[in-house]
Amino acid sequence: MKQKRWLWFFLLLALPLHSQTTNENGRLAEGMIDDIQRTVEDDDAGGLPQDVSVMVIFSNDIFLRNAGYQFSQFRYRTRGYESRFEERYINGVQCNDQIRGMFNYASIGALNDMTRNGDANNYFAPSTYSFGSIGGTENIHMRAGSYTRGGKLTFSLTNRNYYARGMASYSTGMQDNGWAVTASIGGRYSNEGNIEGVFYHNMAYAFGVEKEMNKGKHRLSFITFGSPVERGQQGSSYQEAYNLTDNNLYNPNWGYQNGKKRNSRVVKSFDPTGILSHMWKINDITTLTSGLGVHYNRYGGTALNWYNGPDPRPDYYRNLPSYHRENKVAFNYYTYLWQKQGKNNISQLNWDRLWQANHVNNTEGDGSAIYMVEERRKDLFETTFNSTLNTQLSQRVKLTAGTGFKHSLSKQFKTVDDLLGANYLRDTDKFAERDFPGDKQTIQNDLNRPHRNVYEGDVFGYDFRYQVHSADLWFQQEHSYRYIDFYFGSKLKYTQFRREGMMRNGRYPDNSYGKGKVHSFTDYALKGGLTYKFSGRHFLTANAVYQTIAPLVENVYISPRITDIAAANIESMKLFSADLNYIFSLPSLAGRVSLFTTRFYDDMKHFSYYHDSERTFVNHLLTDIDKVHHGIEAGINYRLNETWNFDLIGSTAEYYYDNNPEGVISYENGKGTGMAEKVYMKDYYVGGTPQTMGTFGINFFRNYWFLNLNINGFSGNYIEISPLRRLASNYSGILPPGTNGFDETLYDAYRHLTNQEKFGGGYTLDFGIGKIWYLPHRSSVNFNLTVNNLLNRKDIRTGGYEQARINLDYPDRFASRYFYMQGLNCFFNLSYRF
Amino acid sequence: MQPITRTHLDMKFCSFLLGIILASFLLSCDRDFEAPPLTEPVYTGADANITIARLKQLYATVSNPALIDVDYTIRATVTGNDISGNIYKQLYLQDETGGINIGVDQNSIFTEYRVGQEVFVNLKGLYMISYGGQLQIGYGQTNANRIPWEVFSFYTHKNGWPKAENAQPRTITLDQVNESMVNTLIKLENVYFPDGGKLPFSESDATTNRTLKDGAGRSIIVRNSNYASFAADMLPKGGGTVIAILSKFRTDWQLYLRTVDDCQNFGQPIPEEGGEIPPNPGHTIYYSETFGTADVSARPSIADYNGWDNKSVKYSDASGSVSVRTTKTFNTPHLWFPASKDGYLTIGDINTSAGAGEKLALHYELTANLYDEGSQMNLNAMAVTVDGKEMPVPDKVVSKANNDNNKVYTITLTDIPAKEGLKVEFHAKASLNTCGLRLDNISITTASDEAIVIKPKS
Repeated sequence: MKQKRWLWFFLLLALPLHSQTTNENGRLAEGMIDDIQRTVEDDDAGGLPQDVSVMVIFSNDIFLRNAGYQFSQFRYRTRGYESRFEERYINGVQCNDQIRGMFNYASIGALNDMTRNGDANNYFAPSTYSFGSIGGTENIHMRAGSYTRGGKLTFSLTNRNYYARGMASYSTGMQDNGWAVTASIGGRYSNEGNIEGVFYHNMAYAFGVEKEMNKGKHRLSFITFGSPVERGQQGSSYQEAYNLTDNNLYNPNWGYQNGKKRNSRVVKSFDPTGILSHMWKINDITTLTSGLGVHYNRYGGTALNWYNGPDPRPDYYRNLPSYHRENKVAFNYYTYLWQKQGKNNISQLNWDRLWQANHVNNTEGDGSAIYMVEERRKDLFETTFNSTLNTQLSQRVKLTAGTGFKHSLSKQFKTVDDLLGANYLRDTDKFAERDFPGDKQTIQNDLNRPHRNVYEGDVFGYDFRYQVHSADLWFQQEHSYRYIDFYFGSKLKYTQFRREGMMRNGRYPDNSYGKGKVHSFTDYALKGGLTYKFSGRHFLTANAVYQTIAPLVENVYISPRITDIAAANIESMKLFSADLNYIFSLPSLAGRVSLFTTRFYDDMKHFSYYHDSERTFVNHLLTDIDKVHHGIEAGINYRLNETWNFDLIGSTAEYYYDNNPEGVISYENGKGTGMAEKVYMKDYYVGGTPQTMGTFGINFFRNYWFLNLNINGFSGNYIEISPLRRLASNYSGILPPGTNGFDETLYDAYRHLTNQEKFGGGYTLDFGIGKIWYLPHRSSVNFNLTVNNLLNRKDIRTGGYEQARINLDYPDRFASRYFYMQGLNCFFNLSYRF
Repeated sequence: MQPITRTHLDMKFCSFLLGIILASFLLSCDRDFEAPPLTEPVYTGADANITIARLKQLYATVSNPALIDVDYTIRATVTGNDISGNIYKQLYLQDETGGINIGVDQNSIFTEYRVGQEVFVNLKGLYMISYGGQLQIGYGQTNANRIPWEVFSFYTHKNGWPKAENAQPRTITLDQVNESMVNTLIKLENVYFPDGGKLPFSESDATTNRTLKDGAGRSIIVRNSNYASFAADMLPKGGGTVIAILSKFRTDWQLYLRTVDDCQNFGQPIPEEGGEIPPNPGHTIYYSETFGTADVSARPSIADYNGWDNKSVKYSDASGSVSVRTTKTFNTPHLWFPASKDGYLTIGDINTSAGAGEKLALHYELTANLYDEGSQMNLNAMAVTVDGKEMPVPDKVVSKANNDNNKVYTITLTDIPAKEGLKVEFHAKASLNTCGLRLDNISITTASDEAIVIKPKS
């Protein structure tokens, strides 16, 4: 029996592109995958983008399982899609937020025992709980009654952002009296993880109860969970800084304060969720599932800010040796200071110096903070209702239909976190102060309370709300016949949002305060698919979808912090996606080979960055972006015998921009607004994910020992381009070769600044070992150890982005920021099940 | 389903307990940072061994950035910085002898170097830069010869907390403006802006010169940056007081306000017009000798000494009694004329021809050795002959009783010819030089209108 369970695992991997609930039989697989967490969590404040999370992988598709797990360390995104196209549900309630469009994996951190069961839908295949999304859909089952009776203790050690994790959970299972209860607590900890200055404090809880009534006709369940975390962040930096410190994981965010390491960027997040769900088995063939989810997120990320003081960041370009390269002595001295240990080292923040500057300003100046730490808050309150009907119209026709409502309130503001000894902070805009000298109006952040002094805990700078409402209605119908299956479906969705300003900003006195204009969108989607069954072992499937998607509220305002003004041409994005798949399932060989193409039209994107020569924050809003994602993907498993099997999984694709969108630039200091200019982005690649990725895996299983070795290869990873570098006006004086007045240096600078950097490809090796011991009384102990990047390669760039600033005389001066993969890293997991 | 045994339950309980303990451990960790102690900066390096005036004198002739290759240290107080943005990437330092600016490649230097901050600057390794006819401290091969920030931090040391009252302006009137005051903090009372209330301090697109006048009709430029925080403010109306850094660019005298608060008590009646605008008080140095910086511990005679600033000029001493020395008080080389002996310094082949058509003046510093109680002598014991003509040296009795020991007097003699091959001879007469005399810092410059021929060195 137990051996057969293991066989199930591989069968599951090779099953065709249809949804399949993992169940008790799939449990063994978790020993290898589910307990392992590889992600770095999101970092929206100018640091690293959110990694693809692997915390929940239910897919039965061999390619997707590997993409979700094996490839995530390369920041691989399936088919190159943004995370907002991956939908996540919990107990049938849609859990992607409406602001960034993403699911917050941090909200279920260290609750792995609770999030182990679920359904996955590959890409936009039909599902039992949603219309679907091109990036796939997963529904996590967190009903108390769906957990097996028993408990589990887990202890993990790793050398990543945290080094210890503990989890304990217990479930009663559905009892004879119709009640089921489940509970879990967990935590992750490090005072300093693998990256300097990055600490991790997390504690998680979940409690669920379910009641079955009328012999299972009604099931009512409630689950609440949360995973508060406080963690230090890593920041990306320049190659020069990595070389100087001889450390590709160099972190510029921290420095010593009073002899103790302090990280300037600390995320504090707490997001309790409660989900009430009801399943009503109306009859043998009809089920109605309804759910109400309430989610609150207190999210804050700290950052240093400074007013009329030198930029304190150690890797600010003027603090790097290269800025001084024209003077050898200065260059060498800066290099020495960067590399020396101990006193006077300048490779990290110097908090003591910041305190000192504030102190002297208290005694000799006006006492307003020169340096301070602010916390940028993005709080969210969401209420979601979903209801889904599943029924059989006939023996061969299945109907799924649903409706959903969601309300989101996002509160975005910043507070004074630490004045670093200063007496107070004057709430005016430092950038406007420089550009509007003597103008006492424009510099105000809040004209309703001008010249205000703020203290620790006070809201300052900006303060606004987003209100987003949406409602949708959808259906899909699946027909299955002897040789042919087909499905079709449609969705209608209404979205509306508005911004509400809580401050009257001096740059936009007439359109910053109060409730703004309502923007509304009506969207629709159509999809259909066909499966041709040559035999029980060979299938050909084809799917297509066309849909419109309302823009994210974050992407429509030119400077959302300070004004209600939106782009002139806001419209829903359109997308068309289609794929063709050959699926086979022979006794020893199984897998899938697919061709896919996806086209995005009229997408919008908002870029925000500090412009050093204009000395202000710049908002660059792009509209009408067209993108193409097309390629081939394959996943094949060959089973030699019960002991050995082999995986070959990979995808090669092109993800690129297909037009030259319109861009609108606005300076946050109010000096310029609505400057429109075409952005030359056509044929540049979408950066941040390898366009070619593959792995070859050797798997061994005998006597409940699991071993595997994977060789991963990747290439075609490009830097994320900055639209500002793709404006013709930046290069207006430059003549092409062969013309009178051709300047080779300038022309080379132009070529350099508009070129898109391609990162080197490479190979890594991963190794895993695990074992399960079954003990009396249905208990078991298992351990597993995975070692990633076994060859300890530290030079693998996994991403990076260009700086917006350019200087034609010094094209290298504003170098790109990069991030690197960690060298050898391990995850050891020991668990006891009872 | 398996029956639940007693041990099973116990185990479950223990496991949960373990979990809770683990969780509470995780929760209890909090990150609180204590404010770092604020330690008053204390300079512990080598003592100051040169004054700003002396430093400027030593490098008076530089044109290209000149490396300072001697272990000089100045001790000075910050009098001006970039707090308002009117002064850009410069600090103004001042000691009791004069002021100088230092170029630093950093924004918001004021956050670390406040007005009133005492600093020691170790100069060896920095450069002297000549800009607009004035000397400043800077660096070689950098943008605008500014010193990179960390390099500046290496050479410059704060001493004590800053105190604004350490930087007191000297109150003068516009007719008193002279070269020794360049880059020092001054105060002008009863002055007014003719454009007061009509124009802003600066136009928005460029640095702007505004005129400041006094009641005698004399005027001076007030130079305001369009990046200054007060650039858009209106010039104050009426009469008032201005505190500023006095600066000079080529032949133009200029004032730099540090903040808008440097315009004080405006709104008073405009001082009455009258009088004439005096000629520009600027002067040019045609010859300067500071006796260099060589090691003179062997007390060389004039014939043996070769550390002169001027290599093309001939120095001699017919008596052989004069030696080059330093003392604890006068720690750079100067000449010692021993008591009761005739001593000479004869300087041949000075070229002052470039000053043709101008009034020239000879300056030198003299101090008598009045160490012993009751000692007293007249400084006119040092006779001066120019081109064979005995000059009228001032009569000045100095005495121990009058606290004149080691007090330096600057003597200025006018009617110096402008010519090639000029000969100047100092002669300490054995009969009159009863205590011994020290001679230093000889120069020939355009004469100012000052009538004073002898004054204590400021």
